[in-house]
Amino acid sequence: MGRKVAVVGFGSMDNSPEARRKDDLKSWRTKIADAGYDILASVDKGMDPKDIQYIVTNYHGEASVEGGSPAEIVDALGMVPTGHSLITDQCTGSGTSFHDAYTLVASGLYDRVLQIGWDSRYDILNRADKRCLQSNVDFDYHLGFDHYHVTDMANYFAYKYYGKRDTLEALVTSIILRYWYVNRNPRAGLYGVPCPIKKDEMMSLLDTNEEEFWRRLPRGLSTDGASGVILVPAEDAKKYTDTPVYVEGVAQKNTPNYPAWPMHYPVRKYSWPSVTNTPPDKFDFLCSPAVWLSTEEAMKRAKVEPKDIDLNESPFLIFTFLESMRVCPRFGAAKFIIEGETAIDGRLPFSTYGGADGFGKASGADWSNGCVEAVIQLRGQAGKRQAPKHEVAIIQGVGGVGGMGAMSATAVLRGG
Amino acid sequence: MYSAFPEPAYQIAVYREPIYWRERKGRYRLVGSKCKKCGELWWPRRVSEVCPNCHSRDFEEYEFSHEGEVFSFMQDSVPAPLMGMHVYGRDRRIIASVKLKEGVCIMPTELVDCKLEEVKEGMKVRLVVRKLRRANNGNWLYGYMWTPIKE
Repeated sequence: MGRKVAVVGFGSMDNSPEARRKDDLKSWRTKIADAGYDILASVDKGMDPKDIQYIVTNYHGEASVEGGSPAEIVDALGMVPTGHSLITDQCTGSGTSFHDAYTLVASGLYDRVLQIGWDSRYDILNRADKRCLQSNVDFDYHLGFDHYHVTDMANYFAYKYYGKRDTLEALVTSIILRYWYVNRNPRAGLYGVPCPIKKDEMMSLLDTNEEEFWRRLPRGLSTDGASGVILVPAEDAKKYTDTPVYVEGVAQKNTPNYPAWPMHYPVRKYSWPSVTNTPPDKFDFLCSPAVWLSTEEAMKRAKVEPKDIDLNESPFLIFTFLESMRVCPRFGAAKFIIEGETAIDGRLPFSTYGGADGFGKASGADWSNGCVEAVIQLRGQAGKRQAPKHEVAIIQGVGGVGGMGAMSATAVLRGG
Repeated sequence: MYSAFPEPAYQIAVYREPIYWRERKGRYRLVGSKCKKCGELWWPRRVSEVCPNCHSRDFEEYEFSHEGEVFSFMQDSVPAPLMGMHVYGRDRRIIASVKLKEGVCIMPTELVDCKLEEVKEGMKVRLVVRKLRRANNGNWLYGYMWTPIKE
């Protein structure tokens, strides 16, 4: 495993609602720099930009952003000639860049590594491509299918295994919780926006007027984003802060990105149903093996059991993720959410910063936004949304659509 | 909306014709790949020409069965203005996955010539090739869809 690694700096660009209204007035370069210098400023005992020995950044990839060359980013940060790796891994990209930044420190190659996940809606070459190119570009996309259609199919399988009513009640519950969290987080994009729905009304509408139910259901907030951390060897951490957060385990896994692969992929390296604790006759689109594998590996490396984890700062509410952590039985995640277990006083508070849909869905910065919140929570600095138990946090993100998440990055952090 | 503008004059997304051309056999005839070493069948075709099973790079074309059964289905919920980027003039499509006799599942794909309330899991369907939209150069593009087999 190499050296133990600690987080000594964390931060992001300005995500407040006021800043959101001016998103288009700033270049992606400015946002990366805003995040980088916010992270540096957060180091309690100070760190000079010249002290950074290596940089790892990521963005969504494909058609996301023009000009995202590694050299341009280092120049934007004013840190030439520092080494830099630029990663693209869609919505889990910042988890992957965190994973790689971690390995650079753990291996002993570098002692101070800056990691930033970022994305920009306004500077993309082609907005349609960004939305579409998450499925199989050779077939699905050209046949008229994109990310949303895959979501439709996910609903089909969710209704089948969780029940339609439970699936949608869990969705409504999580949206109401999202507003509870964002209204206690001034850094969230939806801060100050009252929750527009009530659970009883929505569930009643589902019975009487489903079309109206869908019309009223609040959608997530799509925004720009840039956020990240500074990683150092644990033995050096106290030089920079009295409250370091330690990285206990990381993992990144990939599966094919063709949506239907779980239904027929003939590679027998893994017994895929057993990987996901699923009966073979129920192993299909909604199984997310990448999530199960990365979660299992990160927890194993961290030497923690599901019962040890206090916080789940994942950007996306993925049912299978709760199940892969084994905090609830397989196909029990909807009930887990409905019963309030993801609320601040529940078994496993989820996305206390508002999650991707409340904080701002920024793709390349989704995972790192959750990671920054995990660090804030573990340091006990979350104010009105501080979780009562905050010793160990997990962050998990998925990207792509194959088997509901073709790639997945997970990390387990522990407070100092 | 789309009755007024059945074929928008502009296209939001950039389509590159070489991709259509390269994948025409798959889109018209359901041609995938067969690994010559281990015999595994692959859908979509292994564009990289690497078999994940045995790591061989020796493939041949394999035309999958043109008949299958509905494995799952759902009405398209994507709003017409967004969907219009891809498929002109059709709204509320039936999105499905179709399982072929080889065990391969095609998803997402589209059911045509039937109403949502007529569709059932296990319903027998056969492949048809229909118009998708115009390419940048004005040519009509076609792709596979599925229609119920009338008993």
